[in-house]
Amino acid sequence: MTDAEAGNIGRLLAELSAEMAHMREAHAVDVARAAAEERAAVVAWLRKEAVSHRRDGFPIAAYTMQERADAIERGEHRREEEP
Amino acid sequence: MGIDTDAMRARLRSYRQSGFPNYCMALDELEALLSEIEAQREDAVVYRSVETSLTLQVEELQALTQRMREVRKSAVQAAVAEERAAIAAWLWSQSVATHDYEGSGNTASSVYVAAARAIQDIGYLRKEKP
Repeated sequence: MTDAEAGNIGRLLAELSAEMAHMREAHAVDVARAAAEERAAVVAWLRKEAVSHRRDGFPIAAYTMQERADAIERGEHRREEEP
Repeated sequence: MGIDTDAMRARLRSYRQSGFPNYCMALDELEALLSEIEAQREDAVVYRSVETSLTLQVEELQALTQRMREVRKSAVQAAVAEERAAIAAWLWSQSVATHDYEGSGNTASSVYVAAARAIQDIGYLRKEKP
């Protein structure tokens, strides 16, 4: 194997390693984003329901549901899991 | 004839541009493949086998890409399901607390129960999405 060929292999290995690091970062971002999007969808759905309840003459239910939507948006459903 | 590293780099670039997804078990395999390649580098006299191996590894990368996509899909689905379950459980706990405090027939409590059940039901929630 010539020095040039060994150098090429070395560069290729470095590129593969960089690719792996890139994949790890992208994976973490993907998972975090998916969970955040799901939370946002649930919050939007709860707020929409709150509007319906208010319109149907259930103001207390609407208020509390809106309050819970706000709490979920702040991540309070996760805080209770913390020790 | 040497290794066509330009072609390999071009292929890697195309993986990256296509998102070259993901990881977990597949990453472990990739690391093992890299170690194998590095081990072969130590044995420089068998250049031909290194060349063959490298070519095979890159081809294997292509197959791994597909597997990684599947792993990524599963991981994302699991994260979504876990977030949904956490919210549903929390809403349910709020429901029980409100029910205990205000007694049976409480409207807000019923709302929480309905919401928690709806959120656990993927189809119900998805219908509300555009």
